[in-house]
Amino acid sequence: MPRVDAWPHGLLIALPLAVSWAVLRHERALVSLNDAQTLDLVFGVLMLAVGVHARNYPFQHATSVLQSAALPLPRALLWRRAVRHQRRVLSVHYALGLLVVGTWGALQHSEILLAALDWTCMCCAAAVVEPWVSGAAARWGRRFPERHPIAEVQRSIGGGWTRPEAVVHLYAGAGALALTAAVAMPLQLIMLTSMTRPDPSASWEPFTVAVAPLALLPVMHWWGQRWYQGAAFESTPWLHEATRTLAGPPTPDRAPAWIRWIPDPARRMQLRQFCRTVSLPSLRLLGPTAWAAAVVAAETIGDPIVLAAGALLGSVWLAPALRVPPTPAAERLPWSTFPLATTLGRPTRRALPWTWALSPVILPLATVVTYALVT
Amino acid sequence: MSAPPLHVSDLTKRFGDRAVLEDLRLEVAPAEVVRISGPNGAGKSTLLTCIAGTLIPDQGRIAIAGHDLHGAPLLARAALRYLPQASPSPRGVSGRELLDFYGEVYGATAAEVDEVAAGSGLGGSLEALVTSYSGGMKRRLLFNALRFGRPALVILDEPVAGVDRSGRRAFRTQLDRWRSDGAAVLLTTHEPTDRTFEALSMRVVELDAP
Repeated sequence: MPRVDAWPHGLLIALPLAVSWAVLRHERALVSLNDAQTLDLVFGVLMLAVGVHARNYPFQHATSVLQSAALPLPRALLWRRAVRHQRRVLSVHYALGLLVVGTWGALQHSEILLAALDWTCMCCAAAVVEPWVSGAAARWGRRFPERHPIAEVQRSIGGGWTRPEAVVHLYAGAGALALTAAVAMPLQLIMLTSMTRPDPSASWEPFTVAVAPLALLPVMHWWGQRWYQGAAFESTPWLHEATRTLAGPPTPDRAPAWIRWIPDPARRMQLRQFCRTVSLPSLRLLGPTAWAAAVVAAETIGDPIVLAAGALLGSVWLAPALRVPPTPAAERLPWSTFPLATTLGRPTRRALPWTWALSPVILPLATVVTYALVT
Repeated sequence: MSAPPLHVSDLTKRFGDRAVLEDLRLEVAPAEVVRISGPNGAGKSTLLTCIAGTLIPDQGRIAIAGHDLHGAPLLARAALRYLPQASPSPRGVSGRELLDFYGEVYGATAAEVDEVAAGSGLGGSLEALVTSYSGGMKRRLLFNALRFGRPALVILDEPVAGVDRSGRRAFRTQLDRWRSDGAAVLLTTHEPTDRTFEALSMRVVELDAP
């Protein structure tokens, strides 16, 4: 079986997110269950959102999946490998979330238990829904006859931006998240009601109705696998064709003008790569820039919440940098052959790409240290 | 007397217990073309990557145009042009932007970059992302990116693999231009009898089987 490529940035971005979540929970000294639930809902959904690609890329996005398309390997093998990967990465995200809700925030034991169960529901739903969505993306990410209703939907939702056959993948992540929330919600409501109900002998009928959608989960698993097996051979090449041009036209948009201000050609080249592989780079940069401006204006660097927000915004901006170094070594520019002081050194110690790449880790760690020193 | 374009002495490279290169000595004169030959696994690419600085030898000294590769790394690299075996295809960069980058790195003017772009034979494809290129187009682009400045040594690892006939003709023209400018060329190819290398005086350095 081909190796699953390293694709760590979805994992690393979860770390600063957990730090921010923990800092907010700690600082708010949550006194009401509602406060905690609001915060957990926002950060729980964010935690699932930032890792959705990291969990699900082995279904179709991994280079090894395309390479294996030339081999007589049953797609069921790839499905099983992808599901294992998805659950493994999900368990890391789950553990991070569990650590936060179980450790920080001034809540009672029963409230901590409820928060933990809420998060467990979300992750259990994601464990089943995400593979199903990947199966659906394989099913609908193919070429259909000209007047087929799906072909028309592909054209209409793509807007000519990318290949119609691959357009479903632009929506798959958000779709998986929405469906996960929809499936988890009934179970979360049941638990909230059962733990807070004054009369334990009240009717269980509403709960039975709420649980009904959960019976669909095993069906969804079987269904997703079936779709994937039937369609992955055909849909994966379309996806990778779109990926070669970054899911856009072959001629890229202009790189942001501010890149020209960077004096070093190697850094400028890597920034250009970075900005092209990120959606809306200048808009995303507004977040950290506005944060820095606000900090300078208000002189509030010591406030832990401000630090947490800074770490989060900075990490979200930097996380896609990890997409640049994982390019296979043979396809990378031979940096160490250029007469540039910034790229010289032993090949194994070339720091430039990895400094960028590891920023999402370095930043939250620096925040934690600063936080510890400040408080 | 000026320093030779390449001087390699006592070069040894081991992978684990296996010595791929052992006490290798090599000197290449100006305008000389040297073909490194040998069976698979003999260390051809290992030798080239050591000289290019992308692999560090266990011992030995490499000097390019008299500049020690490790003692004077910038000067040595400024005299070197290297085409690796696998064509790099950096994400999010167009062909033209890659040429601009190489031009800047090797000190070319904007007019020189325009000239190389026009002569690359890639036409409007230069504005497209490199990741959308075919293997031959990537090869052609990278080869053209080495045309900037006046190198002392050009290293070409399988330069014509996957390149069409017109690309090979352009390659030969450039090879002759480098030689007439006094640059030495070090190359590997599995197609030494190809027309590209016809009537080209090449010294062959044979590496032993592993």
